[in-house]
Amino acid sequence: MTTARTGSATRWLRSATFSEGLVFCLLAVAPLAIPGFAGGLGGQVTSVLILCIAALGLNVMVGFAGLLHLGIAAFIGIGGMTLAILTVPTNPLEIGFLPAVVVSLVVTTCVGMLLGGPTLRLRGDSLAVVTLVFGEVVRVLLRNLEEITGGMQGLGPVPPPGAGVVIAGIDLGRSFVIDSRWFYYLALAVLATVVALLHGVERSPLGRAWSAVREDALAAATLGISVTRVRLSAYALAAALAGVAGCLSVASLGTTGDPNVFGFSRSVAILCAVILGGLGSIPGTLVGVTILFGFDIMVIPWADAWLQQMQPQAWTTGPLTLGSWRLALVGIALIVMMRFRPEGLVPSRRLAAELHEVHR
Amino acid sequence: MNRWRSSPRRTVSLPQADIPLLDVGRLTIRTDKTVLVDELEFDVTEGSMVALLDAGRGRRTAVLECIGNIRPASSGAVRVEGHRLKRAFTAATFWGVLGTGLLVGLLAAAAAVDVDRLWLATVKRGLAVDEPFTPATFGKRIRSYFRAELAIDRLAGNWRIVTADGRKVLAVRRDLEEARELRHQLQAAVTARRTGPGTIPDLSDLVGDANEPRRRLPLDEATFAQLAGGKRLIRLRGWTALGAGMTLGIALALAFWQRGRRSAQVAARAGVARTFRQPRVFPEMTVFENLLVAVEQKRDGTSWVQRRSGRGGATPTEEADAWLAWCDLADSGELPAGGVSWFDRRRLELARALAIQPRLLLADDPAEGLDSDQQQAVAMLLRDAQQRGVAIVLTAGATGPLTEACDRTIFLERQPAR
Amino acid sequence: MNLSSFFQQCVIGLIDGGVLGLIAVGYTLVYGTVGLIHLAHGDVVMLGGCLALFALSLVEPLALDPALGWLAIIAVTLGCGFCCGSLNVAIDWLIYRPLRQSAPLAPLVSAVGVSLILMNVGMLWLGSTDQAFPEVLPGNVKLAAGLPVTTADLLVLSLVLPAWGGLTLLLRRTRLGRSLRSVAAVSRAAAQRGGADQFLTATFFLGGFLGGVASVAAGIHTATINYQSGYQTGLYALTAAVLGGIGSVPGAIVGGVLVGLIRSVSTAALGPRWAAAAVFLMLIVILAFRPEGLFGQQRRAGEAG
Repeated sequence: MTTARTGSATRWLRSATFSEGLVFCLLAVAPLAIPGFAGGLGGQVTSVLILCIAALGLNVMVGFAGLLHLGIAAFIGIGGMTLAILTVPTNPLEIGFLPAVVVSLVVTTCVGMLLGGPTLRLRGDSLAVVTLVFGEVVRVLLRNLEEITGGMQGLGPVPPPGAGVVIAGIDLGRSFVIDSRWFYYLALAVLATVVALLHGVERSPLGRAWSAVREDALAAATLGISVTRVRLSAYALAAALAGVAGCLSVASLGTTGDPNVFGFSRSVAILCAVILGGLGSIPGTLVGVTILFGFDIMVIPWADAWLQQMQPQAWTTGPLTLGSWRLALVGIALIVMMRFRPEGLVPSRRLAAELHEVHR
Repeated sequence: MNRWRSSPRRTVSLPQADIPLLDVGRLTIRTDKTVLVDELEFDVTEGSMVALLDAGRGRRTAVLECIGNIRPASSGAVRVEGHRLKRAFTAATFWGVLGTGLLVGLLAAAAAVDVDRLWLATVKRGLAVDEPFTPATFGKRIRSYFRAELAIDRLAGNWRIVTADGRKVLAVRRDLEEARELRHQLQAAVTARRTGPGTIPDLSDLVGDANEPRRRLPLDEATFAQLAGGKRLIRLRGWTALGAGMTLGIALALAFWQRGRRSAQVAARAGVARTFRQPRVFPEMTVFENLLVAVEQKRDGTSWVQRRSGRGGATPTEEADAWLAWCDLADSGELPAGGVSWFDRRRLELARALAIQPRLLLADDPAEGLDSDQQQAVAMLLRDAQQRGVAIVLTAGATGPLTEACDRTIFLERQPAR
Repeated sequence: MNLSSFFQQCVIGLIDGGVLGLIAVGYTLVYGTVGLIHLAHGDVVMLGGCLALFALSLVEPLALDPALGWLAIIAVTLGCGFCCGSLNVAIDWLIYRPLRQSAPLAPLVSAVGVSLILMNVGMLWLGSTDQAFPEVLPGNVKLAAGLPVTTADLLVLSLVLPAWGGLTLLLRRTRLGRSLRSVAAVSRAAAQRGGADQFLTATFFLGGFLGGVASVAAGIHTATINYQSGYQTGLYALTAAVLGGIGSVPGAIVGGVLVGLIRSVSTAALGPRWAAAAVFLMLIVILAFRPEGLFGQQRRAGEAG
């Protein structure tokens, strides 16, 4: 809306849409340019992309609608688990990837609204605690319903998308398994779609209603905005996006794994990534996740391998590896960031304006 | 719910000349310690402008909050066009409440009948004995679970006769047919026990585990009693949990509905807009977006797509631009609303409230913090709104340009603290 | 579950709840004064446990007689309380204080950061496995047949009850206590105005001290400790604080006891793996009906969203 009103070529070139498009184009050609991408690196980048999708969902809740949510990983777990239950060969359902993703989306959306219903009256910190314990309840359920979810081992093997489908002599399912670039492109495409969708929603009446309710719920209500409905829609969208991320992650790993990874630490890590990047800012969220999880997933193993090469003695464990200081490093980064740049690395336009207002 | 549209509405509603737009009857507002307002009565006719004058800030704000459904009245009634501003109990509410109750009840029942074991009995066990998974077999297995019947499953090439929930293994056989035969015998015994004691057939010569011939069937009196009682127990648990869960869910949904019944949103939808003493603009949104979000809340029967394409009259953008010009803020449309001056915020809030096309505007101390020129400007805006057919109730601590613009002034009586 | 085992679970739950309540007070005091969920509090308690583990494992081989052993435990408890209190104050000074005027989520994220650092310290200190808490006094001795109380329980009570008593006296009789209560009851804005720094330091110290006492009690009660126990115990304590109405000290006590009771009873009835789910579901249900918690201040309807 705003760009349409004051649009000009230079402004468009500097806009988030353009830079995001550029980044996505670069990401799309990256596998062709980087050797060895089909191996481990591709898988790692894919998991970062998938976490980006979940973080965008969280950004809808926290950044757009202003509802502090500390249980987003639970929805990743629910989405992934639903997909696994519906597709693994040890269950008789085996309904195929796409229908399972649809069902999984419906389930996560419903669960999100189910969480939203009783907690709409809560605000700020109480809501944060309730979403936190809700995440714990889901984790406990996923772990304890051993017959349904496979307990600590998780469910597997989850067939890849398009298993058994052969197009032009290419077995899709096999391609997804042997070449990590297939999942990379799938995740990239979904991420690009989600980013485009969220840009659209941000500028839609719903997005403005979210902003209004976030900034002053009472004033919004006096305009006739249904605070309940607006907040519930944020819950639903956040849950659905986390569900998509869960489906992709489970499908790319081929198993749900230990449900304990869908607990508080993952939720809080995603939240920190969102705040690190800039609350309410879509490019910020992408940057935050890339830095935080990229560091965690890619840099630390790489640095440890390098350290081990330099010092071939028994320095593989104990306090002399980077991995054992992982938590503290992330913690220090968060504290320093909040001290010196609380609005995030790529703050949203509005938030930046407001913070500068405060500092002046 | 578009009965308060500004002009065509009058042709729709019945001619009720005797019913005032706003009717405040014996309104009493108490706090913990004092009586703020005692039995206040006044009415406001369509298109008039009324000032509520009182020295006590809390008191005059409380009256407006009661009218706008922000705070509950201790007693008395506020009617807009003869109706109290409450959401009605519609069919949708009924189904929503019932659905919530059912959902919570089902969740509770799932927990009570142990959904994990149910899954094992209905889905996985069928797979273990190579039974095809069809609705018929699924239904059979569900019934069998709720009847707490013995079942057969497979572990490491052996066929095991297990209780419905799979927690207890009664016998192990190498041959499926043999296992089926034994299960039949055992089930008959359990069923016999259910009908009455003393009819247990003698099974003591049967081997318990085909791989360990010396182990006997674990069928003592206690096990039998447990197996026989299982049927009642699981059903009892399921129904109890369903009932309790439904009660809880319905109570929750009703409480929730009751609370949302008299909300500011309901008042706004009925055509009552308001502004606040401290202008409550949305600070991070631009001035233009503040107006746009209000314009988009207008309910006039056209869909969003229609309005956006301009088929239902002006597009929301054009309409918001018109309001921007109305409140004389066209130059600062792109600024964050939190950054503009107090006077601008005051005018913006006024335009925003009017943008939802209300019939009644509650303006809480619109003169607060303004010099007399600015008060004049606000009075002009209010008079213009009045000419568009909006009735206005404003509050003030003392007379000024704004109260002079009003048709009528009502003094709230002072109440001694009780 | 028969009546006597129910009774036994209740006793265990009460003791457990007493310990949880002490930790919950740490959350509630900080929330009541600065309006921040001090997420690192559980990890402060965990580090207190590490310290106690270290100190008591020095004492353990001496095989002291009961009276001396008890005195040693009291000394270690006070020391832990002092260290945890100081750590809490240090966190406030270094991390939270510069962020008082900052964006609302900044202190919370910083709290997560502190929590991660402390957890990392605990991981390096304890390793990633469970450590047995040293038994200075023979713990698992039943006092009398049929009585569900062991000597360890008595020991825990001998730490928890004086702490509760002291806290009550402090809140009732001293100026600090009165202002704490009034702050929690009226508004925290009052505390943030002039001359608040000493007051906030005292609040953080008090919360940390009680956490330190609780860390020793929890160590004796559960007999093990690992680097994640801070997070787990902290989550229960936070639940207790929110359940009672965060910001209210009596609420934290009642919430702690409720959480302890439900945890032990559901452990006996449903098995230990469902205890967490039972406690957390109860929190969600209670908050759905009473958003401000059991003892919390009800907000005015006008400010409600």
